[in-house]
Amino acid sequence: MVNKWMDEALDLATEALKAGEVPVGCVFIYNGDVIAKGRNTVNETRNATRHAELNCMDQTAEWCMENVHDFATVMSAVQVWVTVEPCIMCASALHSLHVAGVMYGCKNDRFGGHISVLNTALLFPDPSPMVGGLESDRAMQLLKDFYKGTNANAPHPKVKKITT
Amino acid sequence: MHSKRRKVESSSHSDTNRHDEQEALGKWQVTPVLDDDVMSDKVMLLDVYVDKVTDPKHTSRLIRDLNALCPIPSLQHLKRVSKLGMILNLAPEEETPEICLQKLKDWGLDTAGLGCEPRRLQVPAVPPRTRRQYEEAMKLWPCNFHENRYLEKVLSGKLFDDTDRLEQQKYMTKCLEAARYSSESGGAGVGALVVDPAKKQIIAIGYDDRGRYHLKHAVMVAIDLVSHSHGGGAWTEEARSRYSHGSPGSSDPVLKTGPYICTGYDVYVTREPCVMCAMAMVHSRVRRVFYGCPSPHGALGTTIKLNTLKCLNHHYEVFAGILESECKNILTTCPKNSVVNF
Repeated sequence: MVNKWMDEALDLATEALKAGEVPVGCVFIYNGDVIAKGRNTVNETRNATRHAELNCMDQTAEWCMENVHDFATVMSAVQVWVTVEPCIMCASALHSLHVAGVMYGCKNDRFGGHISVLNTALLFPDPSPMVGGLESDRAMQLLKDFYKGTNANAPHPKVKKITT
Repeated sequence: MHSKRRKVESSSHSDTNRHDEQEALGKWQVTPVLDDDVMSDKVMLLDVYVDKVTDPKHTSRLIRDLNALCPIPSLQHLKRVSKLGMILNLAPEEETPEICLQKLKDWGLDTAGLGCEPRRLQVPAVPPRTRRQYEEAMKLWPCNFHENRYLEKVLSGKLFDDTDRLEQQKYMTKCLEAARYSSESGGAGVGALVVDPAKKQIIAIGYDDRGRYHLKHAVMVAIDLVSHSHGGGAWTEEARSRYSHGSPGSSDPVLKTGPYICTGYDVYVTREPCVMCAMAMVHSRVRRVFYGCPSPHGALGTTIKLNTLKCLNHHYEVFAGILESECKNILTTCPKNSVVNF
């Protein structure tokens, strides 16, 4: 099944790949509209925490300022579409904001905060529901394309590259 | 003359300072946050069948034969023989001593020199990781042990001397200033500092500002300030203008050739970081984390120990307790409504 929001997130991931970033894309949907579109900007910002989801949260905060909405209220109604399972950091941030739901593509074997490395939902009293496996092949292919190339800023990897 | 007097005054003042610092050292202790496997001195046990050696002349032949016919890869850390007897094989619950012995005979073992009355015995199931575990394990069965000297130093509390601790205290005092600022300006009363321990240079100081933006936990702010000092950053400008406590890194000209994010850097934070911040420090490849007091949502000791998750690709060391009571005090004076859950 093709979903337009996941398509949009995949476009953002492709853009990240072209920019030499880990290809992960994310959109936030509020009342049926896209209010934030993000991708990884780790290399650009020299900040390893600038993942697609956190960039979307910053955009949402700005959107709330402009449209005079309460950030926490908006976030609790946001649906998150992201190409890769959120990492432990992002999943925690999403749970802490009680987002309405998280739909993701492929698993994140190295850092996944839903099922792969640590189930962060267990650390929050009122966690957000997360569902994976949407368009996972396309999301994974982008990651594979990225790891085929080299990330000049990364130290020598100690862990095997992501495999399916 | 006038200037000389001032000099004398300032030196006696710094002597008092030094005395105060020394005295403060006695009020807190560093506790390493380590894997449960290392902290515990309880020995995990496993059942094996052990038989008496009735004729010691056969001992070395029996060891050789048993190792060839019935090697036990999971028990490589144990000697095959002790004064209690010879380990024949693992002892699954359903297997009787007779079956165990029969199997060995079927595989071709010459049982000469054995009592042929195997009995169940519990032996250490995994190799000891610390000297204390080794000593406990040895009470049950002789085993091999490769001491990790660094780990023993950490466990014995001898890793840091007074010079190290004075430095830790100095950095945490700076964090406390940021924490007070946070508390006064509507944050959760937490401060964080990033330092390059090789150069003893403070790279960034961040304060918790979650009253204004949910994600602005002190650690996240400090990490972004580090990025700014490396010519990047996402939030920095705003944070810097509001809190100007020296961050030499960020006032430097753009440093494009810095290390990979926070490689080699230490982070000091007044309160145990939450799981988001703890993971942010994994992504940033921080070397060591020093925190003051525990937190109910903390992910470096309280709810989990993120630093001990083996499947992550980077692990930093964690030490708790630096100026613990001062750090705790700031949190209790912090206005309750500003502290967002987690």
